[in-house]
Amino acid sequence: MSSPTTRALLEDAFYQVLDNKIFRLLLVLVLALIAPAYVIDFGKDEVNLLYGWSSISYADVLRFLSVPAGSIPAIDFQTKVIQIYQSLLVDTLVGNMGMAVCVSATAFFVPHMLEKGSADILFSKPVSRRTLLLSRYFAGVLFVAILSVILIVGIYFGLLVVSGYHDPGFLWGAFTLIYLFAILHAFSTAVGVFTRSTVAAILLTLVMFMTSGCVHGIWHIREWDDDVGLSRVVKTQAQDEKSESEATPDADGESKPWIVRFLSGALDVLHYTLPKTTDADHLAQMLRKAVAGPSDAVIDPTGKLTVSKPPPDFELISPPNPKRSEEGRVVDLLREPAVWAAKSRDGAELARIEIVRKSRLQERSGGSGKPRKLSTNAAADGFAERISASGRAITPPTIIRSNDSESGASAAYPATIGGAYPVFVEWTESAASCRAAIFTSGDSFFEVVATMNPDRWSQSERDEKVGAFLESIKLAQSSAFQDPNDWYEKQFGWTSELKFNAFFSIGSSLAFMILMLCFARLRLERIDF
Amino acid sequence: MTATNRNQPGDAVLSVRGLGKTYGKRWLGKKGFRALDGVSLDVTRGTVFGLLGPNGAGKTTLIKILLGLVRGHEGEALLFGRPPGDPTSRRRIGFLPEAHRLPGYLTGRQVVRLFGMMSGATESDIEHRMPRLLELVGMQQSADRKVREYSKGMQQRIGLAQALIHGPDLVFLDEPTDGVDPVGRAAIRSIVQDLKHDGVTVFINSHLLMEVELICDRVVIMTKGKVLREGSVDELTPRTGAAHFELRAIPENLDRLLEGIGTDFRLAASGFEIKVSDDEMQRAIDRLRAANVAIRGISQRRLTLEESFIHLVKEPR
Repeated sequence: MSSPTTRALLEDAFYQVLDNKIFRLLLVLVLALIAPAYVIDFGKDEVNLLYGWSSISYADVLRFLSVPAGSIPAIDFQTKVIQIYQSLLVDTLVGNMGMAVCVSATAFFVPHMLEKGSADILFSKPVSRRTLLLSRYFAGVLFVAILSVILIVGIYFGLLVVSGYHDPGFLWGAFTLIYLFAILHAFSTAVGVFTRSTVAAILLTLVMFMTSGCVHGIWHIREWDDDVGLSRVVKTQAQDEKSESEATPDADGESKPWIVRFLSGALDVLHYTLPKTTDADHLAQMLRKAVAGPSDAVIDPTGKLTVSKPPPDFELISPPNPKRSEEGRVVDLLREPAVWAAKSRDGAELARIEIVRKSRLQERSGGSGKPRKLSTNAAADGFAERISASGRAITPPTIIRSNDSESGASAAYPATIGGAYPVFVEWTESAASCRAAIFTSGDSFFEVVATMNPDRWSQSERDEKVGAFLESIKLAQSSAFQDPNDWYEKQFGWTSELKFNAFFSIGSSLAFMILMLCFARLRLERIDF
Repeated sequence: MTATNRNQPGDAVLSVRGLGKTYGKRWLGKKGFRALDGVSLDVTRGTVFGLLGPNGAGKTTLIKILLGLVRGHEGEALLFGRPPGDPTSRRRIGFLPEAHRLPGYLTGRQVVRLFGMMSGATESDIEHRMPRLLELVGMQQSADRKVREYSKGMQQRIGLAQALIHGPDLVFLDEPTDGVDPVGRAAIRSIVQDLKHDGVTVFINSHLLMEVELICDRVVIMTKGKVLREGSVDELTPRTGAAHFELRAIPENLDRLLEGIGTDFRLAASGFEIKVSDDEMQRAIDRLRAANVAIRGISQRRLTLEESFIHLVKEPR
């Protein structure tokens, strides 16, 4: 294709998009969606509206959004609320409703080109039918690309200028919107060529979009259920009650009736054939993480504990070279403790925080029956006894329970740690003030021990540091009670097995897109105008 | 395309041999519609070629096959020695389709520019030709308005401009004067004459036989997918054998003066018509002069193209 032809087709696509009334309407809507980023200041401590006209606390905002404030460390409030705002706009509103509107606004591009009168002039020019088809296809993609870039870049700069929030990974949102639309528009183009009807192109594309969402959603639930879902939990509980000899390892495939196996097979065929439109959100999140770089969080995957952001004074000193993953540094806290230390400029250690995980399961006396689970209180009592027995404590350990009315919940003694109810133990050693937080999760309990030099930090400083550290601890829900979508997001990755692999998702979706365009081209080549 | 690049006079710009096309191929015993059936013709450079025929004769199908818009035909069709749809030959073609729809979101100027560039013309060529072309089609005043605001005639004029902007060697005009006012029609006739003068071959498909008669050198009459007759306008409009006498005044005893001379006598507005042989014509002149009737002129009457066309397509074959 010669340069003047390329330029002519690009200009034509541009004018066609700009002249589109729905495009102009959507442009106004996009500006309306961007506007909040310029009039709302998502500050560190609260949300300010209209440059100080009014302010709302994050607790109220999170309550309004039905997010339990206790599930998020206070230091992450700003990030969390902004991410909810971005996700609501980009993933939910634009990623679903916006896509449907854009499909409707661009579906006429191809059928109009093929109408008698338009087609006669266009297809008599020395430009191949394939080129003309692609020019109309890319006109549609350009339509959405302009809107997406304005939306994403507009929100990004609004948050940067007004709230000082910098998250370059959010810019990937534009690419994922364009990627999602490119897939839908390829289908719309193919339908447009085959039917030459705008209405058919709109309706069938929307049906495909919804069907694809449903198929993938059901597939995720089935995979989640097969892996860790409720049926497996129920089955495991039932098996626990039976003797081990009676338990069958896996008879799933044989026990299912043929109709279930048939439907399951059909679901697989549809899942692998249809474009993975629902993966666009996950891809955006992954790209966002990739831009943000490797996380400094410490993760104990077996204990499902994450220390996301320890206070800036603290640095992980043990283990010295932990294994790295996309999520952060991986440590098995059952085998070795994770230790953070805060040091002065001269290298002297000011404080040390250590986390260790232990099993709650205790053999019953006599060694018969199921092992019993240690309660948090019992674990704390055991911990205090060990401290006393060690002879290190100058003052006897004091146990502070969450429901102790005298102490009450505060930053230093939070009511929950990552959603678990802790018990605190305090004592003094020769040159250190010590505090431990003991809490349980699943079959494990955790001991977080803070040892601080009282000469360098005041009581309030010590409370603040320990409190900030405890806030950064997150405990994941048991997989069985996770939302299937959250579960799928955890499985989905660049290096995951094929069915959860991001490259496979992109590749199969692009293959679908190319296939649709090839079908459209083959049909177009056979049309007599 | 400059004049130096054009074909030499007499070269076949367009050549068709045994062209056939059936729409809706046979399927479950149902026969398709035979739109073209063994059409053969040659069009040489610099000719203004008229394509006539009743509705459904296959004229538009023929043009669309030549432009590569309709595929799957039988026989051979060559434009500038290349098959239809070949980009090299398409660059040398301009096309104004019947009932065309130009992009309404563009201005007239943008439409001409867009299709010029799509036809392979450079921007400088387009900028150079644009003012004169817009003036030629009478659209210089309205060129910057959106096409959707144009009347049908204005769209036709811009359509003609887009067909000519890249300087084609062969121009297909399908009903070029459709919706155009008489002044516009005269302008289009003038443009066609200019094109012919520049050595451009023009292929016209029109229902307005007067137009065709006025501007075409050669004409093909088609019906039911076949070529019925091909020839120059003179060949297709034979003499009727009747002579038209134009008189200064019609005498009262005219029928007695011409008694025994010729047949099919009838009075006309300023004289009379009569079917006569050469001898009879001389005798008629002698008698009129003898009776002091002033003769202003005598002409041999021919069939009009319309009469010839109707006669041909109604003739049972």
